[in-house]
Amino acid sequence: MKAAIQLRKALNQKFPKQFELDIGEGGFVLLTIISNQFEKLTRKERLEQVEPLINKADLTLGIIELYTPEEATNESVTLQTKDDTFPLSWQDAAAMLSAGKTSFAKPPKHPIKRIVFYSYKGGVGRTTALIQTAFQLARQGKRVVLVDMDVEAPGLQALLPSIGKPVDEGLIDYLWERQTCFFDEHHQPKIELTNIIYSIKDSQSRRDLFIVPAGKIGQRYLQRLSILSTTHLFSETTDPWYQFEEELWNQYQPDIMLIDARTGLNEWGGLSLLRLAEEAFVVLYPSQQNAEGVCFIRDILKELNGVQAKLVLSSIPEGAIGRSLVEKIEPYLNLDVIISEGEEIKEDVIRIPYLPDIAASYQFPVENALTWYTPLVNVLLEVSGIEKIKEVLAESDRLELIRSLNFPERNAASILGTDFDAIFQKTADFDRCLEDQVWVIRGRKGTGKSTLYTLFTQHRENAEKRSRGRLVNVAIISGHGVSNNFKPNADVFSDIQKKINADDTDWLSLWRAYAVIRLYQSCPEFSDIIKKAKLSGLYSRLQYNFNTTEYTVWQSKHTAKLLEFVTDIKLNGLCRDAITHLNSNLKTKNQKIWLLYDDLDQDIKENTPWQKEALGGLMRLIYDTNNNGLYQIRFKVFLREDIWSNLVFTNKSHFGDARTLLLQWGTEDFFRLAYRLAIGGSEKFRSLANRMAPLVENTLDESNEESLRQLLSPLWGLRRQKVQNAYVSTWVYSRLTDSSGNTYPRSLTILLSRAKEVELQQPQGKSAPNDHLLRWNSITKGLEAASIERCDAIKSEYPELSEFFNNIGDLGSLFSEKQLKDFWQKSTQLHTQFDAFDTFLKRLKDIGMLQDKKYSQKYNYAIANIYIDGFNIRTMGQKK
Amino acid sequence: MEDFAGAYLARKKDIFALPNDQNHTIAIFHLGGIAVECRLKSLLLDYHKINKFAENSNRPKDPMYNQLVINPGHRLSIALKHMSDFYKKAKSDSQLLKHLQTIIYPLGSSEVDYISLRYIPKTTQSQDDWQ
Repeated sequence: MKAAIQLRKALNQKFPKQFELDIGEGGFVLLTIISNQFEKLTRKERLEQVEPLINKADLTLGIIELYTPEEATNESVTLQTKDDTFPLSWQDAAAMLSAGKTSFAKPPKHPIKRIVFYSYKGGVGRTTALIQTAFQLARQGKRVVLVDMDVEAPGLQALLPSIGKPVDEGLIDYLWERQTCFFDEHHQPKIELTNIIYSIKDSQSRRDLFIVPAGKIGQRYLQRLSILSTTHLFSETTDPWYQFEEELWNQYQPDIMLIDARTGLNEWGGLSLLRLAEEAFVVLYPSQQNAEGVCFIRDILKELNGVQAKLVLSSIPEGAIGRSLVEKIEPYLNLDVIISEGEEIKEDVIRIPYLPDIAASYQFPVENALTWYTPLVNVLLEVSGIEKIKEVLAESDRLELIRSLNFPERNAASILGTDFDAIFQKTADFDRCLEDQVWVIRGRKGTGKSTLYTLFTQHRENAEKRSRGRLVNVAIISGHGVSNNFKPNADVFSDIQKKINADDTDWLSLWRAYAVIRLYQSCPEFSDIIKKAKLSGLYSRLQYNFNTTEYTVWQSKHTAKLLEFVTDIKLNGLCRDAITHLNSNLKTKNQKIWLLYDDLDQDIKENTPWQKEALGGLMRLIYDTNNNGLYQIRFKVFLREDIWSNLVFTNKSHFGDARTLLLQWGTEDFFRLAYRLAIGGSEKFRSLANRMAPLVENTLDESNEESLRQLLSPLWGLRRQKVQNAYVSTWVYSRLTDSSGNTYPRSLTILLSRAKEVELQQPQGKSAPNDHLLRWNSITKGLEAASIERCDAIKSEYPELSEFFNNIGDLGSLFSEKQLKDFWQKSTQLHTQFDAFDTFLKRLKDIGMLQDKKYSQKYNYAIANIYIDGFNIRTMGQKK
Repeated sequence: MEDFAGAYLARKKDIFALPNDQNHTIAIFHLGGIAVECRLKSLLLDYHKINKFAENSNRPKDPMYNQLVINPGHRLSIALKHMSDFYKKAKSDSQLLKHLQTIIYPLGSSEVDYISLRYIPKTTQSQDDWQ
């Protein structure tokens, strides 16, 4: 087959459109060429021009006829070079394939999508799969027609709800009349489409499904079937099958036609698959008996028609037996495997177990087995989704759409303020963040900690929009962070530390006193509570030193007073009492106060011996407050992940997964953000997206990964070029994610802006994709830009690793532990910063640079994808 | 009107009437090709159920049904190709293909075909393969 294709290619170059080639058994070449290159040459000389090509393709010189155009005219030799030849049987198809031909299907005139369900052997659940799929498609709003082309064993209608009257005529009768009977103005066809089609109603969706049975079994049926010439059913556009389709479209406008095909390698099965299938499902039981035939058929379909038939393993026995059957059969199915990113991506096989409900049922659909067939439905919906995009894009100005895309870099203020509704994307973590039990919100730089802090402290109205009523009765106060200008800065904390150290007092008390000050300033009732509780010493000091009308900037006297609250035993005690009183008061009113802490990674100096003590003190205050039953006052600390992980304090073990929350951009959050960015930046794209999926904006946070990928497909496509099993969205996500699973919203903005720029420079003619805006090439360029930005960010974030970042290129994308150790030893900076190699290694892992390569023998570690381009790292064994 | 079936039988007789020696090899090759050509043409007419060329094929279920069947001239491969069922069989029989090639190009594939070789006075090509 490859030899034939090779020869055809070579001939095409040398004698374009001047030859007719066929190949017989044993590679016997039957070739006719008419070319003026043969002018004045002897037969021998002519053959010398052709023979090397045949030898090179490893074929046998057979009947080779070589003419000049003049000779050809004299001998009335013509070439059959029609491109639209179609295989009409498996034999034709195999012969065409071995002659290196491909089939060129003319697109049908109507938009009905033909889907063929085929099985090599019978009784494997093909018709069941078809019916179960049909009902689900109908429930998704598709108009579906089911056509029985299992003409030698018809019976589709028997499985469907009956309409009360028996079928009298069917497809075969219709086709027969149109092929064999003579029509003129006096003789019109008697078998109308309406005679052979009927509809049933799905009781759930109240939608109609249309059924075209093969016919009524009997002598008449067999006679008509035997007279029908399959050759002349599908060849010309006037042939009966096309009359059937045209009429079907004119009268019923179905979106999808599901064809139940004949089993095996016979004429009708071949015809429906080869001639009609735009998509095909090959249903089989996982046994060796099926494998060879199925592979043959899939090969032919793929090579000849370019249709990638989906495999459906059906009736798989339960448990270990079924699993082992599937494992055994898979190697024989010639599944497509693509190596990408150093990983094997194997073609999906849809698996349907043996379902007793189906086996016992004599009428379909079987409701509780429907979900097993959803993968088939999804394949079809995906296809029809892309068709729809093509349709809509064809009506729009592609360039104008791309130009209209707009991905400005937004700061927290605009995201939370004016652009909130359009852009703010809550992650799946958002709801957990609202829980009382969550005290520490960890996250890497850029994951949105400060955005959340600002949202709660400054844009309460917006926070409420996304909180589903969970903020009712909660007052939110900034304990420390940008939302209050009046606060000690890094310098002040440094001074405080010295004093605390000298007086041997405690950070816990300091944080409590600071909280009392913050409460006094932000919560008017607190003054009354202190007064009522007769905590007069505290009240007068607060009133005198910390009233907000007089003081807007933190001064040294404030530091002194704060420290007095800590060092003076009486005042310290009053602070504790104040909190307790506040809690009781809140309890009676069923109210809560949240104190939020941000910016502690800057204001408590990093890498100082007291950083851990200071932060540990705050944590102990949180733990103590909870332990003393002060449940109305809750603390939430936003802290950088690496600081948290290195933090040591008593009771840290109590801050387990329930108490802390790691902010992460999961796949779905990320897809939602991408969608919001695209529709939020361009009115034009928004209206395009709305045509594809109306009203989705309101339910975006509920959409699942699959539908999100679909939503994003007009932007950057659904599946990757050549890698049919990999989605673009998933790929982009994985490339923007570091080794600890962190993804940065900012990277996405950069990627999209760059991709848009690149796309605008690309040629926009035929080479431009017709089902999405940003082509693969542009996305890869965007990815590079995003990586460069990430690399700059991580460089400035961790200056102590600068020597590592600067020379990381030499190391390559994969390396062994020994290589990394040598690297560490050679570098003086790294050597002094990290006294042990293990600390260095842990650091790299903590910041998301390194990925363990568990399954590789040669390499222990890999650099996270997102850093590859930006640090200009040589990729090894991984495809970009 | 041509009688291809009759011509085939007559040419076959002619061949056997010729003395079987090297001097008459060219004539044997030439007439042999013509005999096969006549046979194929007579088959072609029968196959499409027509009486003469340039009529429409009357063979239902054939891709050429209702299309003009033209005279293939000396082109044996065309004659064969126009009988789709036979052609399919021929293609799967490598022995037959080989024989057909020898008949069309009796002097070897880089030499002239069985028609043009009538202008060649003499050959040393053996008849063994051909027979």
